[in-house]
Amino acid sequence: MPLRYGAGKHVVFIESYMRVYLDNNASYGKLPGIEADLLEALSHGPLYNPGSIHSDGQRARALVEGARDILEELLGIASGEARVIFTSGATESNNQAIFLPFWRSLNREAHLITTAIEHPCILEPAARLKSLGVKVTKVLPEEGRIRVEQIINALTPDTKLVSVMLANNETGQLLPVREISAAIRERAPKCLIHSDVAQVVGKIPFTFSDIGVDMVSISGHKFGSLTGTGALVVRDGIEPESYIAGGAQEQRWRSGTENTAGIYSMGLAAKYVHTHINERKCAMEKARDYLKNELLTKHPELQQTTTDKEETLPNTLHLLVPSVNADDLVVALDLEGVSISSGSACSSGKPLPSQVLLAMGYTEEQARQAIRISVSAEHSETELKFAAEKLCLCIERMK
Amino acid sequence: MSTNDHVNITGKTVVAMSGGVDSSVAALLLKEQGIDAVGVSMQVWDYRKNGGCDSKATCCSPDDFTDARQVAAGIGIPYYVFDFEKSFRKEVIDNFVQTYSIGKTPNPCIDCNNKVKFAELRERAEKFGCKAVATGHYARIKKSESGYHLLRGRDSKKDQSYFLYGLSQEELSRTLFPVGEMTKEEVREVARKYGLTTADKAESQDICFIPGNVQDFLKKHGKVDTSGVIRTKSGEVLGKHSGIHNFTVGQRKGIGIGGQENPLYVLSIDPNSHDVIVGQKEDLEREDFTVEELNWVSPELSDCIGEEPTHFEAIAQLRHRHSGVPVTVNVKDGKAHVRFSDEWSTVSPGQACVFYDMKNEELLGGGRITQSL
Repeated sequence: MPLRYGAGKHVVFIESYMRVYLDNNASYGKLPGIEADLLEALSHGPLYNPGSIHSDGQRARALVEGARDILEELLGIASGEARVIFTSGATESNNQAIFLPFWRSLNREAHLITTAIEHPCILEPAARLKSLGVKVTKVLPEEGRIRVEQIINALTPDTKLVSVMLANNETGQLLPVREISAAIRERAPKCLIHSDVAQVVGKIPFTFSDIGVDMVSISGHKFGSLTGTGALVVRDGIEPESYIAGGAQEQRWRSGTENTAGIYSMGLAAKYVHTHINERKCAMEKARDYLKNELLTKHPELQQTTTDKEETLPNTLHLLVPSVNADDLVVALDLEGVSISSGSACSSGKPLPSQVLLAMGYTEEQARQAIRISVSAEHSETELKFAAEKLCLCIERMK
Repeated sequence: MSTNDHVNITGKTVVAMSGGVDSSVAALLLKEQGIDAVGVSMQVWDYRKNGGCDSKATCCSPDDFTDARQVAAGIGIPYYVFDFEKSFRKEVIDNFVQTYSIGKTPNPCIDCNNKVKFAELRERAEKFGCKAVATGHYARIKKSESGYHLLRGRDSKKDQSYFLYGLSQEELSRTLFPVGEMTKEEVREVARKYGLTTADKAESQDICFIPGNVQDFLKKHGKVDTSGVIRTKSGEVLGKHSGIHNFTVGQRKGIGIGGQENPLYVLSIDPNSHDVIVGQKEDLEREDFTVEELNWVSPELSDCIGEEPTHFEAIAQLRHRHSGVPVTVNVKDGKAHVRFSDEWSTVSPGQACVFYDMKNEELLGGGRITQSL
C-alpha cells in the first residue's frame, strides 16, 4: 500500500471527537452554499484556459469575468473607478503593490512608508526594496496604535507609496486608513496609497472609495474561497507594471493563465458574504463575545491586546496567556479538537515570537504567550460551548 | 510483532520523529497497531545560525523536519515541531565544551537522550494529555512481575540501549520502542513497502551539531586556549599540542609524535597544566576504574541499591560500539568501583559505562566514568 502518492485524502488526523475551527483569520472555514455551484462547474471537466479563442476557453473566460463583476460589486467599485486584477493571493498582490511605484525609480531618490505591524508579505518586499536603495520608513505603533499624524510626519517629497493595512491579522485592530488617505491627499497628491484589506473582506462592510486608497490587496481564502487566489484592485489610470512577466494576461497586470476554478470559487464566496454581510458581522461578534466572556470569567489573568473601546475585526479575540507558551497551547488544543493559532511565524521551522506584538512594545516573553482565536459566522452553540470548555481546560493544564 | 505489551495504551502516544527511517517506521507501526500517535520533532539546534550538519549525515535539521512532516502526513498522524534549543544548549553543548576543557571526553548523544529528548518530550507529552512516548531506538522493553526490563535491540549491530541507561522504571512503563524487535534491513523493508520518503535515507552519524572539526567548534563556543606539551610519565617532553580537546585517553592515532619504537597512546590529560601524558599500550590498561552519576535501570537493582554496599558481576560496555567485557561491580556511596574480570582494558573518563547482565542482554544501569587511575 504505497502511501506517499495520493496520500492526504484518506487522512483523518484526529478522529472520534468533535472539532471546532477557530482559525478563520488564517483561512476561512467552510462557507455554506458555495460547494454545490463549485462542484457543478467542475463537473464539466477541466476549466480550460480563459485566454483561448475557442468556445471552451470562452466558457472559462465567462467564469472569470463573472467573478470579477461580483468582486467589483462587493467592493462597491463604480464603473471606471478601478479594476480587479486576479492574482494568486494577498502575498502576490502585496508584493506587486509594494514594488509597483519603484520599478522605474530604483536609482533615484524614492521613499516608501509602511507600518511595523504589517504582514510579512509587505515587510519582506519592503526590506528587499531597501536593499535595492529605496528609503523605507516603518512606522512603529505608539502605545500600541498607529496614528494618522505618524504617517503624515513621515511623508517626504520623495514618498512614492504609503501602505497601511486596514486590519491587523493578529490583534484584529482596525487602522485609520480612511483618515490617513485623506490626509495624504491633501499633502502629497501624487503619492500612491495601498492597503492590505485581506482580513476585512466578508467581515465588515466597506467600499473601495470609502477608504480612499489607490490599491487594495484581497485574499480569496480569507473569506471562503479555495486557496491560491486573490486580487489586487487598482485605481484606473495607474500604469500597469507587471510583477510577473509573460503572456500579459489580466490587462497586462499579471501574466500567467488565470486560476479559473479558484477565481470562480472566489466569486461564489464574494457573492455569499456580500449578500449576508451584516448578519454575518453580528454572528461573528456574538460568537467572539461569548468566548471572550467565558474565558475572561474563568481565567481573569488573560489579557486582551485590544481594548473594548477601539474598533476591531468582529471575529478576532487576541489574548496573552501569562506564563504559558502559546505554541504549546496551540498543540494541546489541537489534540483536544480545537484549532487556533499563535502569532508566531514558524515557516522556517523555528518559531519566532510575534513580530506584531514586539513592534507594539510587548516583551519577547509576552510575544510568545499570545493566542489568536478567530471565529466564523457559522458556529453552533454546541461548538462554541465545546471550544470554551477545551480552551479553559488546556490553559489550566499548561500553567 | 508486538513491542507494546508492557504499556497499557488508552490515550495518545507521542512519537519522536527525527526525519530518519527508524523513527518514521516507529510512527508507522504505532499507527498500524491502532495507536493514536502524535508525531513530534525536536528543534535542538539552529543549524542556519550555528552551522553544522550537512543534511546527509544528521538528524534534526530543517530538511529532516520536512521529511518527518511528509512521513507524518503520509501515514496520517498529526505532527508538530518543538523548540528545545535552550535545554539542548544548557544540557548538551555547555557540557560538551566543559568536559573537553577538563581533559575528558564528552558523550553528547547520551546527554541529549537523557536530559533533552526523554525529559522534555515527556513533559510536553503530559501537557498534551499523551500517556506514552515512543522513539525509533533499537532497544526493547519487557515487563515481568518485578518491573520493566530494558533489553538490547534485536539487531545487535544497531543496538542503541547504551544511550538509554538514564531511563527510570517509571519512564520505561510509558516508553515504546516499536522497531526494537526488528533489524535495520527489516525497518527499511517496511519503509519501502509503504513508500516512505525516508526508506533509503543515509544513517545519521558523527556529532550532529559539529559542522567541521571539534577544535573550530570549541573555539567558537568560547573555550579558552588549552595548548600545552606532550610528555611521558617520567616527564620527558616529546612535543607540543594545540589543545587538550584533541586528545582522548586511549587514543593512538593523531598524537603527532613520530619516530618512536612502539606506537604511543594517550594515558592521561592534565586539565590544569594542559599536559598530555603518553606511553605504551600496557601503561594504559587498567584493572579497575570508577563510575559516578549512576542510574540503575533494572527493577532488581533500582530497588535494592541504596545505603548498603552492593556487589555483582556484569558485562560492561565502555563505548557505543564496544562489545562489552566481564567486570565485577562494587557499589558504595553512590559510586561504582569496577574491576575487569579477565583481561585489563582501557577506559576513557567522561564516557558512559553501561552494565548489562551476564548474558549481555539486559541493561542493568550505568554512569559516567570519572577516573581510570
